[in-house]
Amino acid sequence: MLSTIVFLPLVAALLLPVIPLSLARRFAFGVSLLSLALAAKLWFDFDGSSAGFQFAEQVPWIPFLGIHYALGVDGIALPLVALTAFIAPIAWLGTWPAENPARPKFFLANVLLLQTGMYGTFLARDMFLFYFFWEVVLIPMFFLIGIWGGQNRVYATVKFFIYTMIGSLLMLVAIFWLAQQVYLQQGVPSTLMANMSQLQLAFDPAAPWTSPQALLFLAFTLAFVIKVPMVPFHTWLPDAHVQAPTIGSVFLAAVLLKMGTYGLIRISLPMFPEAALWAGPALQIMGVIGVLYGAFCAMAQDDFKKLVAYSSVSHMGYILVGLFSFNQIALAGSLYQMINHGIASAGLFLIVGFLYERLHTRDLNQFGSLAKKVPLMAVAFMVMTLSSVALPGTNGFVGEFTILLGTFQQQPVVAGLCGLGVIFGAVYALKAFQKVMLGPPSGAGEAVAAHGHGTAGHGHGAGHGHGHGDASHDDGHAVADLNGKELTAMVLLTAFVFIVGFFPETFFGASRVALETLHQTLATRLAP
Amino acid sequence: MSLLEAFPMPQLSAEAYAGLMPFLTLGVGATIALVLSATSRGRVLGMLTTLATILISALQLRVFPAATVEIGGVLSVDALTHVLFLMLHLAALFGVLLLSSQDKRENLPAEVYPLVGYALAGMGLLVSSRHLLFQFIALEILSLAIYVLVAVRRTRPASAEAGMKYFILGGLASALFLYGAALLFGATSTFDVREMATATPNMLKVAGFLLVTVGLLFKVGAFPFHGWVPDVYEGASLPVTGFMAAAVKIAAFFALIPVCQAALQDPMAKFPLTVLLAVSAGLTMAYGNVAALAQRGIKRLLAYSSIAHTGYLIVGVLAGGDSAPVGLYLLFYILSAMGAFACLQALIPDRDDAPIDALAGAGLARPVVAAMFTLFLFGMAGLPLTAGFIGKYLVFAAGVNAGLVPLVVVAVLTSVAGVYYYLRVVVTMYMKTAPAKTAAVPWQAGTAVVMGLCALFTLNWGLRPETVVKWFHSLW
Repeated sequence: MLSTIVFLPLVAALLLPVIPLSLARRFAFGVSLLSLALAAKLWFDFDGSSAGFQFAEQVPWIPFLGIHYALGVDGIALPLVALTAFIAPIAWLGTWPAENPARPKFFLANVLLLQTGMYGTFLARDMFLFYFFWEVVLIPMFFLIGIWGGQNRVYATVKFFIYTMIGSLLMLVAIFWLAQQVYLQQGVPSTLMANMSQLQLAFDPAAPWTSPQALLFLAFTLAFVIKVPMVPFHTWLPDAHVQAPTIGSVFLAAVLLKMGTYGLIRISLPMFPEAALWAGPALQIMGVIGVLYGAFCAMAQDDFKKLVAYSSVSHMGYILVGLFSFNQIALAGSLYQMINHGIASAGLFLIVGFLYERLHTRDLNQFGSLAKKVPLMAVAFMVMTLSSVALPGTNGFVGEFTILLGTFQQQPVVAGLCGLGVIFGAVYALKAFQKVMLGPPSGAGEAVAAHGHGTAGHGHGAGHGHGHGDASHDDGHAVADLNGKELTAMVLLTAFVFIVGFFPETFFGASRVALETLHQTLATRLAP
Repeated sequence: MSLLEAFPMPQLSAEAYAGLMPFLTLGVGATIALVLSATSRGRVLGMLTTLATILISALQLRVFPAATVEIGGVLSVDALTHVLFLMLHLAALFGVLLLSSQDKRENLPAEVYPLVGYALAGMGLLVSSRHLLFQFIALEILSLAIYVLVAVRRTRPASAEAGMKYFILGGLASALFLYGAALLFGATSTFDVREMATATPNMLKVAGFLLVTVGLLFKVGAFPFHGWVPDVYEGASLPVTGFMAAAVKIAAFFALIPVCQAALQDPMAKFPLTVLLAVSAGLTMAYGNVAALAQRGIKRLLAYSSIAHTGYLIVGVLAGGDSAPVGLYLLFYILSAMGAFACLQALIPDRDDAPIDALAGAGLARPVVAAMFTLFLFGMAGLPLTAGFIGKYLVFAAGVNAGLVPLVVVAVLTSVAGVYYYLRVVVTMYMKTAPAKTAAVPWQAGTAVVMGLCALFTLNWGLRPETVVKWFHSLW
């Protein structure tokens, strides 16, 4: 079951060369629907009352080194797997007419391989396998940004790759160390996370910087917070987002960033609790700085896509704050926020993509008064904005409110500062909406059309940019509203926003026991 | 007194003859190839004879049981040397196949084929011997063959310059090795490395060990003895560079390992040698990776990257104990390095001083070759899915287990630079457009075979390394 979910996209990618070109995109979409169906089945078969791994698969892979091909899903991985499965068809639908890239099959293969890597990272129960998938994800993303990205794509993609690589190689050294400790303490070679989490790792509060546990914690956590990204390691993110093609941005914001926070909740917290408690305040402060700094940067942007990218920095900061508050409610809120940010950011990046496709600009000052011309898009944009600013009744509220509530019980000052971030978040998000959809009609007609033509050539790589929306605004002031596929994508996201907003238990009920158990474990380990 | 009385035939057992057979085959076969290469169809005949010789010799290695035998006090053949010798055969086989696609284009003399055979025999003797004086002779056999192979391109002055440089610096290295061997003999009255380990420690012995080590560090191209590497890589023809990068490393590293093991058992030599190797490893990794960043030529980039790989391997040597990780790393390195040179030969066979930009647009124009090149570059960078990742994993894990955590941290951090410059090549192939229509490159059968095999094994051992890892660990 889990192996099918992981490897279905890979098999599809390998089959692509024999699929006729005209069907290739539909094929990839069909595969993502099949993945979604499998994930749905997983969802309904999952037993929410148990905290352990379910549907576990375990085959020795390199027995000599104790490396297993071991998959399993628990209440923490399940929502992320579901998110990945849910986002994939939406991403295809939302970029259908727009992205008609050069080398289409290679493009599709990269997106499919990306999905395999993401599922694998969330489902791996073996540290080596986790690292393996973690690194595999880099390769398709590298090509997606680098080949089909914007003007400055090579710089952005190499920066993305190198940043992630620095962190993950230190993580690799930590994995060696853990594997050796498993062998020394337990007598069998094993890289299973279960074995590693049983290790007794010394932590001396008097000399934390030389304690093995603290060093291991830092090695893993550095890899994860670069991915999150935590200020000051966030600078790769705006570049990557701005240059990436829309589907790349959607996966990057919705799922890839969550690999970092997933690593924190799966590895950093349960395996090195004492060190996590020691470093927690510092990471929380960085989280708060991220929340505020990301919001300020977002406010200052004229580039719509960069604004959304910085808003990701801000919203991911909440997750750091929640995770390291060591509060049960905030811990749960962090998981909620992972999913909810995934939905809202995917929606916003799709909107950016729609606008760029139609008007060939991302400059907020070039838009204006579009709501009359594209009412459906305006509504969808509004919903995503409201979710992003955490309005009650939307899913964004569930995540951020829970984090703030839980954190407030533990660290009221931190929670108070984060609360400011919610206000700033509303400022920049509503500013974006106002500038695009309302505001003065700053010539969304000729001015944008002229500008749009200017940027179309160099803004998007070869073979892209003369797509669908072009003709419609050439002759006048008309901008096409959402077509059927785009509308479907946005309706699905909107449905998620409100269903989870009003009935969070429908989605997060399955995670409750796992989160409680995790918190219990932490509380027991950290009890004085 | 007859000749037989003056030079009595040593009484060798059947096993000893079996152990000697591959060397005899190689010597005889290469000589036949040398004679045939003087004929009018020399290239084809030389190529086929050498290919057959290598295959027969490899077959003998597989057929004869890998018994542990001492031959004449100088050769010690066992299961381990068998496997190393087989690895060398693999590299030589790839080298011959690559040469077969390139010999006419560069107007190489037919004698390159027998030279590969002789070099292979020399390398085999080097890894099979624990007798320093005999190892010196083996080192000279292989080095002389390689010097000629490097200098043999008549059309390029750079080739002669590279050959000369290699010859002079290689001569210096051999001299250091020999001097060290002489000092060791003076201190211990033996040439056998294994007996040296247990001999009484004294300063002479320490100096001897250090000199022998430095001589071999020259051969593997470790910092600060790496000066010849970039020029030789650039000057030599592509197949020779590939063969040299892989095979000379294997031979020299497995000559270095017993010396280091012996020296590390010596209470006096242990400390200076550890310092020498650790400093050299750290600087080699840092220098190789950083200097590669600044390169514009693709061959020079691969040359500096090979210096960096030498650094990682020295970490493996220093980790001591079981040197299976080093062996596996080198096995996987054959695949990615020779595969990469094969791809270069397929992409830009005429431009060996080519800048990286010469590869622009290859991703679109030659999708299969570019994909394989990417695979090999990722293999050298140590990314998952490739055998190179397993090799790095094993060597670095061995380093961590031996308590060399700081050195391993240096290794992983400098290998980030490695990732960057390998990516630059991939970026050029896929993300830059070709400046102009380049001339079509004809189909090269030998190159295609090498690329295919390397890609297959890189993926196979990257995903299913268990068998080969277990096999190597069973040898030590």
